[in-house]
Formats: sequence, structure tokens, C-alpha cells
Amino acid sequence: MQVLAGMLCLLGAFFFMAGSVGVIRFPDSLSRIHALTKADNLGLGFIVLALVITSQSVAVGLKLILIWVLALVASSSICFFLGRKLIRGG
Amino acid sequence: MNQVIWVVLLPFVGSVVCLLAHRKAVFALGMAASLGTLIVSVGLVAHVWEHASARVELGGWATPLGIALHLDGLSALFLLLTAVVGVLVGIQAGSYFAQSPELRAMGSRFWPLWLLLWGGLNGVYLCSDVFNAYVLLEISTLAAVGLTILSGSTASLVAGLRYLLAAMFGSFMYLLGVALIYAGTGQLDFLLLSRGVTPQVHTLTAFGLMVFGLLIKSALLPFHFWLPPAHSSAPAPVSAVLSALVVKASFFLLLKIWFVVFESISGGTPGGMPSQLLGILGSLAVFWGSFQAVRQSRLKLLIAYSTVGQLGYLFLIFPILASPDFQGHEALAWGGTIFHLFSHGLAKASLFLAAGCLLQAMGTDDLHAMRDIAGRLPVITFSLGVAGVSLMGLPPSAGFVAKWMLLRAVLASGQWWWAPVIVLGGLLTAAYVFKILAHTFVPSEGEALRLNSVPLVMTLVPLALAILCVLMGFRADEVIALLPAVPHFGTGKNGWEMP
Amino acid sequence: MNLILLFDVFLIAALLLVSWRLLGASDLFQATVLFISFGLFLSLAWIRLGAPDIALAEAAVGAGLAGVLLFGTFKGLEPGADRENDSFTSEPCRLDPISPCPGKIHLLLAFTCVGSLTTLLVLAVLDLPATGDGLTPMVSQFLERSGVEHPVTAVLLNFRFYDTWLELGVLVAAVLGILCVRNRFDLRELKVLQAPDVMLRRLVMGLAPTMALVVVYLLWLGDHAPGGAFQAGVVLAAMLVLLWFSGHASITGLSRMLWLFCLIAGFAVMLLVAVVSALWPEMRPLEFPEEWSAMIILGVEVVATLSIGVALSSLAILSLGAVDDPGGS
Repeated sequence: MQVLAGMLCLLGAFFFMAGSVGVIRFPDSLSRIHALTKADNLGLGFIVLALVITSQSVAVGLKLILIWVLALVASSSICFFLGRKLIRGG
Repeated sequence: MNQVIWVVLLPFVGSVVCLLAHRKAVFALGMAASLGTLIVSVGLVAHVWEHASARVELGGWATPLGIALHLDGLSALFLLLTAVVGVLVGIQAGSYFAQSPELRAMGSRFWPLWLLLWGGLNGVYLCSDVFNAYVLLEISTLAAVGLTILSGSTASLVAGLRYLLAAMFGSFMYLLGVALIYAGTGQLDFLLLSRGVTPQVHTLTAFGLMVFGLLIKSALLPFHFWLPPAHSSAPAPVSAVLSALVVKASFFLLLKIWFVVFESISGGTPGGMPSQLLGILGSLAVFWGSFQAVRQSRLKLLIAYSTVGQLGYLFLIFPILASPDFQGHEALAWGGTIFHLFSHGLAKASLFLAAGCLLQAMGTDDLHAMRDIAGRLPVITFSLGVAGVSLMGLPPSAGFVAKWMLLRAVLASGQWWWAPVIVLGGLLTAAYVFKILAHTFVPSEGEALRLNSVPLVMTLVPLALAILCVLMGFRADEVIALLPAVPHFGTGKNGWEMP
Repeated sequence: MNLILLFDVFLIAALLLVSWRLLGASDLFQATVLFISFGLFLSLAWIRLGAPDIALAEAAVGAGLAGVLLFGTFKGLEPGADRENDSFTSEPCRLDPISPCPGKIHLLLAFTCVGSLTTLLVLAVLDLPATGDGLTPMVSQFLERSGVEHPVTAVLLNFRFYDTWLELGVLVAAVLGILCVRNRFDLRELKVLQAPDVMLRRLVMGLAPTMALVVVYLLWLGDHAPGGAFQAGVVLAAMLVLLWFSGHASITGLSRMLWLFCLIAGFAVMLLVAVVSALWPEMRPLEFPEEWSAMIILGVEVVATLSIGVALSSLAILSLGAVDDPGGS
């Protein structure tokens, strides 16, 4: 179980890294937002999954999943707002 | 002694009620709370007179854990000054804020904030806990800044923001000191701290930071920059409260921190270097503030600069009491300082209120516009004169008693070099008081300025304050008799142990 | 152990770096963003110092609310729609437009003062006794008589009830002060500059119940774990501001009386406790009977949460809102 959690963490860290590289390397704001939100949400998902399988109780696990869902909602809607602002010209 | 808490509760109750009440009822409710507070304050003075000090542990938790209130002679006198000025300013505010719909709207904001401020000030006088003192200073500062910007004019907003930043910086320095002293000793209570403090690097730093913070808030010379604009741009009743009371509250706390909490440090330093420094800054404040006051051409700014100067006298108590060959004349030093506090509080409130009346009558507070005012507004001019006489320190006013006692204390402590400060400061004060009065007697050339009418009450309140100030000069004995009930002060080498 | 040390070193480095960049930032927008990240790093530092209560408050107030207020101020300062070429340094840099801008000598003086203060503080902290528990042992000794199980809540709402009560007074004074600045008497008619957007409305509609749940959870948590009225109040404030921002019903819809009532309720309820205890013959002021203390503390916390939420959101709305209609800017 611990090994699985460790691997998931590493996987999550890889996606975070990919997202960060994307922010630095991509040419324009739209693709940067894309890199940040997509890759980081996936990375966060893996890390949350790792924490869930190592957590002691169901309640803690559910709270962790709730955090992930909230982060997903927040980042995807912020992505939408930023993207729309960029397309409409601001 | 549970009734001590009522001097804090009553203004707060008044504040909440005034906030929720209808605009028309605000004055009556506010005055009711003010009068109640005055009665309780007088009761507390009587209690100290008969039984000396009292201590209440709030919530029934003993002091290291809980917070205590501490009532002694000094706090009783401050409570009394605040209550007397507060009630009279309240009466003035009643007619000041009743004159137009705009002013009435302003008044509905004035009362909640002013009563909140009053409760905070009373809390400071009773406080016996370094952190609690911080919270109380915070509530008084925010309420005072709110009052400063009451009119919402650009000048008052700029002055209020400057005041807020300076006061917040002072609070922050004080809080840093509190954090250090708590980390070092694990105590917050004044009396417990005074037993636990030993001269070490961290306690000295804490002492320095706390004193520094309070000096900014009490506008001692290099830190006075925020005071004149803030005090001169506020509405008249607010200026009176700010100058007469608010700066004194941080000075009160400074006295407690200096002479109670850090008694072992401030009393024990060889030569009393920090005390001498405060004395020097105070003297410079006397000269600089009075000099600037003489130079001003606007009445309210002149009075505000006069506050900077008059506050300087208060700081002479530090070198006087630190003198090594000072035997048994503490009562003189304390008496002089407290008399000065009282006389300045009453006189300054009177001056600002009278200036408010003049401003309203003439539409400007330019000194050169005040032609022939003496003949046309005799009551206001008379109040200005009487309050001015007390500021100058001419007999028989309270200001005279204060300066006389301070002079004798200075000479008794063998530090004659402070004596010229007191005398020359009085002369400079005379210069600016005569500058005001001289303008009022100049006959008007040609067409006289059209004067707006001023309600009778508004002219009588400054007069009452000025007359009180003179009458207090005749009642010096009682105040001095209360002073030995200033307990826990100077319990160190001077051997002035209080009951 | 070493990993934790490494983390701490990184955290300190990040704090220093962010604060340095913050001081050096010439662009106010950038400075605001940096200030928010500084707050977040600082709350991490509080966690590492073992003070989760302060960490929560710092994240919510220091980074969140202060960030909102700073952005609001920034919006007010912004001269035009585009902020491409204008640097704010050309504006008058003092409160008083007549006074000259600080020169090199001022900066030197400031650096000297800050430097010596820092040195003094470092010396003082090094001089502190190593075994300073403060009043912690005493608090745990009396904890069972306080009516709650979390020591921080016991200190805030029982042992030092007076301080907490006065802090609520400070909040009220702050809101009254802002009312004076904006020359207003209530929040009605204060509107967002942009027209509310459909997507945002939906999003906030979905988030609001979750936030309400978090408020209740934090409030209930305060009894035995880090949490309580201040943290719950901040989340409530965030919810109210978001609701207002997205055009939903919020405190701007309340009548003046009702709004004032919510604003003052926390302070007033604690005042009521104080008055009753002062009138009660056998009680010390602010004392309450042990068997009722849990009830009283819970009641006070619920009302205080409401007041803190309303006060903080009013601060934000008063500084962000505008009276004129959307086209006015």
C-alpha cells in the first residue's frame, strides 16, 4: 500500500512538474492556462489518491476527495474566466 | 468592588443603543449613558478616597490566567477628567450636531463612535494587563480615527489616514514588546510582571519597544507630526476630545509601564539616561510646539500645536522621579503632573469648543478675520481668555498650581536645568494666547464680518470648562490628598510605599 | 527529520524572497499578488510553528481578505482601463501632495532603523529563556472548568473573554470608520462595477452551500480543535462577498436596521453577558456559572461568527462597491 501511495505521489509530482514547465515554455497565455489547470488538476488528483489510500479513516478520505473536487471546480472556472477575458480582449 | 466594570459597560451600552436608535433619539440616549458614566466615575473617586485602591479579577479567574481591573488614585483621577470633559463635550455635541440635516447625520455617527472611544479610554485607565492594554488602545485608536474623519472632507481624510498609520505603527511596536515580555516571563499582568522583570537583553528590548510605541501615540516631539492636522481638521467636539483625553490615555499607559511594570529597570538605571532623554524630548516639545503655535495663523491649528507643547510638560516627571538625591517630594511631582493633565484637559477642551463656535460664527478660523470679536461675541472671547490664562499658568488657575508644583519638584530633585523650561514655556504660551486675544480686540475696519448665530448652549459649555479649570486651582488640596492613593507607584528605592 | 529541516529552509527562503520582491515591486498589481503569496507562505510557517489557529486566520485574513481589499484599492487607483505603460511612481507619493517624495536619505534612514530594529530583535530572541511555556500549563490545568476542550477557545472565550469582546468592538469601530470614509450609512445600493456574469452566478450558487457547511463545521470544531468564531466568520464573510459579487442576495439587501443589528450582535451579546454578570449578586464581572459555560460559549460563538462575517464582508463591500451604475466607470 505504501509503495503504491509513493508511486502515485511521484506520478502526481510529475504532472505538477509538467504543468510548471508548460507555464514557462508555452508561448501565449491561453496555452499557459491550459497547462496549469489540466496538468495540475491531474497531479493533485494523484496526490489526493495517494493520501486517501494511506489515510486512517473513511471521513478523512472523503474530506480529501472533497478538497480535490473543490480545487477542480475552482481551477476550471477560473480557467474559463481567464480564457474568456483573453479571447474577448482585455 | 464590582461596580468598577460599569465605567466600561455603560459607554459601550450607550454606543450599541445609539447605533441602533433613531436619529432623533441619539442625543438623549447618548447623554443618558454619559451622565451614568459620570455618576459611576464620581462614585469610584469617592471609593478610592475612602478605601484606597481596588482590584477586580474578571470572570473570576485569578490573574496569571485571567485579566484583572485595577483601580487606584491615578486611574480614578483620569476617569473623573474623562467623565467631566465627556459630559460637557456631549452637551456641546448635542447642539453642534443639531444645526443642519447634514450635521444631524454626522451626529448619528458621532455618538456610537464617541461612546466606544470613551469605554475604551476608561478601560485603559483600569487596565492591568499588557495585552489587554493593547486591545483597548486599538479600540480607542480606531474609534478616534473614525471621529477624526467624521466630516469626510479631504483634509480630514488625509489627516485621519496619517493618524491611523502613525497610531498603528505605535501599536505594533507596543505589541512586539508585549510578545517579547510574555515569551520572556510568561506573565501579562502589570503587578506580576513588575515582580518578574529583571534587566536582561530581551526585557530591555521589550521595555524600549513598548515605550517607543506609546511615545508615538502620545505625540512626544519627534513623533508629533500626526497630531496637528488630525486635531485641527476634526469637528470641534471631536477635536476637544482628541486633545483633552485621547493622547492622555497613552500617556497614562506610559506611566504605568514605566513606573509599575518596568519599575526595576526604569528606576535602577544609573543616572537615569532614558528618563533624562524623555525630559529633553519633553522640553524640546514645549519649545517647538509653542513656537509653532505662535507662528500659526489658523486658530484650530494654533490650538493643536499648543497641545504638542503642553504635552511636553508631562514628560518632565520622568527625570524628576529618577533623580538619585530626591527625597520625599514624589507627591509634588505627581501632583504637578496630574494637575497639569487636568488643567490642560479642561482648558484645551474649552479652547477647541470655543474655536468651534468662532468657526461657526465667522465661517473661518483665520486669526486675521477675528476682528472686533471681543465686542460681538463676548462670552466666547471670555472663555478663550480664561482657558488661555490657565494654559499660561497664571494664578489662580489650575495651570498655575500645576506649574508651581512642577517647579518646586524640579528644584527639590536638584535638577534646576528643567526650571527654565517651565518658565520659558509659560512665556511662549502667553505669546500665543495673547496672539489670539489681540486679534479679537482689533476694531473692524469698514464693513464688519457678518456673523452666523451660535446657539447659547454652545457658548456656555466652553465657558463652563474654563471656569472649572480656574476653580480647580482652589481645590488643589483635595487632588493632592487623593494622590497618596496612587498605589504601586514608586515602590522602589524612593520608598514611597502605598497602602 | 532532515527532510522537514529542508522544508523549513525552503520556507524561510521563500518568505524572504517574496518579501524582498514585494518591497522592490514597482507595479502595485504585482505587489498585491506577491503580498497574497507572502500571506500563504506565512500561514505555512505558522503551521510549522505548531499554531494551526493562527495559520487559519493568517490564510483567511492576511492573504484572503487583505488581498481582496488591496485589489479593491488597486482598482480604485487604476487610472484607465489599460495599465500597460503607467508606473505609479510618477503619482504624488505622500499622503500630503505638497510634501516632497522621499529621497535617498530617507531610504537610508529607513534601512538603518529597520536594520537596527532587526538586530535588536534577533538579540532579544536569542536572549529569551529556552524553557518558556508561558501560561500554557495553567490553561491546561483549568481547561476542564472552562466548558470547552480546545485550549485556544478556552482562552479566547472564557479566561480572556474581555479581550475577545473588545476585539469585536474593534471590528465595529473599523466598519463605522469606513462608513465615515465612504460617507454612507448602510450598504444598500452598493453595486459591483461589472454586470454579474451567468457563469459566475452558477458557480457561486453551487459553492455557497459548501461554504455554509464549512462555516458550521469550523464553528463546531472550535470546541475541541483549531477553528472557532474568527475562522468561521472569515469563511462566512468570503461567502457573503462572493454572493454579492455574483449578483445574488447578500447583506446589501438587508435594511439598515437589520444590517446594523447583525454587525453589532456579537459585541452586544458579549456586552449582555457582561451586564448580566455585573448585576448578578454573587458573580464577578464577566463570570458565568461553570455548568452554563459551554452553552454560553457556544451561543456567543454563533453570534460572533455572524457579526465577524457581516463586519468583514461589509469592509470588503464598502471598499469594492460603487453607487453609480455599471457604465459610470
